[in-house]
Amino acid sequence: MIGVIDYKAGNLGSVTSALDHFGFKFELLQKPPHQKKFEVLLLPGVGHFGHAMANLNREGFRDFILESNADGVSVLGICLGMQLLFERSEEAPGVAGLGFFPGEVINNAEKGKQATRIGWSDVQFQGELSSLSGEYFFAHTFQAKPINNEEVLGTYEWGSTRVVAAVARENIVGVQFHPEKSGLRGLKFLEQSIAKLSLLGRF
Amino acid sequence: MKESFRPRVVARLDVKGPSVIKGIQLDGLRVVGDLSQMAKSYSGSGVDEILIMDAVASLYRSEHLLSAIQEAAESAFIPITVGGGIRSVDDAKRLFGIGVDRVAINSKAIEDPKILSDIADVFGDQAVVLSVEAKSVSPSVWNCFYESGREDAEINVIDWIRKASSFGVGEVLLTSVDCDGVLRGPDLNLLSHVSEGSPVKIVYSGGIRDAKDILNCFKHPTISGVAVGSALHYGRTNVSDLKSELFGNPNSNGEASY
Repeated sequence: MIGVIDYKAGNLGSVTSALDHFGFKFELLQKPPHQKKFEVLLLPGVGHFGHAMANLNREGFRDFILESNADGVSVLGICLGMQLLFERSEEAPGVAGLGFFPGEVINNAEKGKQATRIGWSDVQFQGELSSLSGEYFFAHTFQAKPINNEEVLGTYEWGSTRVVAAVARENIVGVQFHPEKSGLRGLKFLEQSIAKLSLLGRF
Repeated sequence: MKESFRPRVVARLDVKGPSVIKGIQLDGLRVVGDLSQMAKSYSGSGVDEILIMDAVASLYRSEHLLSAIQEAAESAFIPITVGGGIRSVDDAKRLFGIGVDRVAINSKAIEDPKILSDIADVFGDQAVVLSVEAKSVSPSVWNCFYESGREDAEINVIDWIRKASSFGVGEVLLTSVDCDGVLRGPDLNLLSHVSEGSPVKIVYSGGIRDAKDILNCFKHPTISGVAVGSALHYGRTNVSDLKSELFGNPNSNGEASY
């Protein structure tokens, strides 16, 4: 059972549509449930780091997510959801993220260039997921900078650098791209990552 | 070294109610199909994005159209941008609520550009597209128009793009009113004029016939995508052929059917 956290940060339609497509059982959570019964918590999201954390804190989701993971529940963060898994973001100075991944989220900004990046980019994944390497859809203004290199699961090329596209440790995964907007490959990514997280409890 | 994503191929669907229509220079109404069916078909084709433009700007009141858009959004699994008659943050919120990823705004932004930042502040600037209808008013001079290219806002295209960009815009949708639906290629003069001066990436729309037309647009580094309407709807070309010629891969986002 997947718990999809609805914290008013963007539309859940495509994500839930994708879960339906594969027959994954899920529940939309507007508040932390009384009984915890999920294998995976899905944290989608589009919008502002500060507003999102304020909503999560206010509804009690922060503790729920941290405690659930401590109990063995897996977490999958998408786009802003991935950024929230970090310690903090330049977008919201002073606001603490969930802190699963050491590191911060910084603005994409380069001198004189538009910070927001919208489009399809080739993501190279490490390890078991390398067969899912290929194009995914991104729409982001900020990017994650994990401190631990071994937690980087996938990157995309931008000029002479590689930008973090996905992170993973134990049973927590974050992706900067939108798998629910990345066509068939995106759907496959969702299916495989959720299956691994729910069945194996690790990535 | 390339510091940008590869340019995108966007399927443009102009709608009236739940029907996809096609006009000439944004005018005229010939029904070419049903919105949800066409959206499903294009999203399975490997296209990078679907753009739905409401030609009669009724998005704020047509339940029929909204449910067709919702159906398209739930089965597409690729980004969907919608424009035409969006006049408030609530209009945008309603669209995001049914699965739309980005809203394209023209008339209301000309009236009050603060609508752009109002939406961007809540949803992020990647959710906001500045829709610009460019029409030539004299040789090498293009003004911004609205009301499907009929009303002259009397502001120069590049001045407007520069001004509006500062309000929080992820991308510009630049439609050449002169070239729309005419299938005689893009307005390359307009593109040359606009692309160097735009602080924000541009998706171009109007007159595209084939991959060669698209490649000519891609030569401008500010162009992040090209929207194709008539050429696709009338079967003059198809997404698979376009993507093969442009990127060497008919369907870079996975297999064609799922």
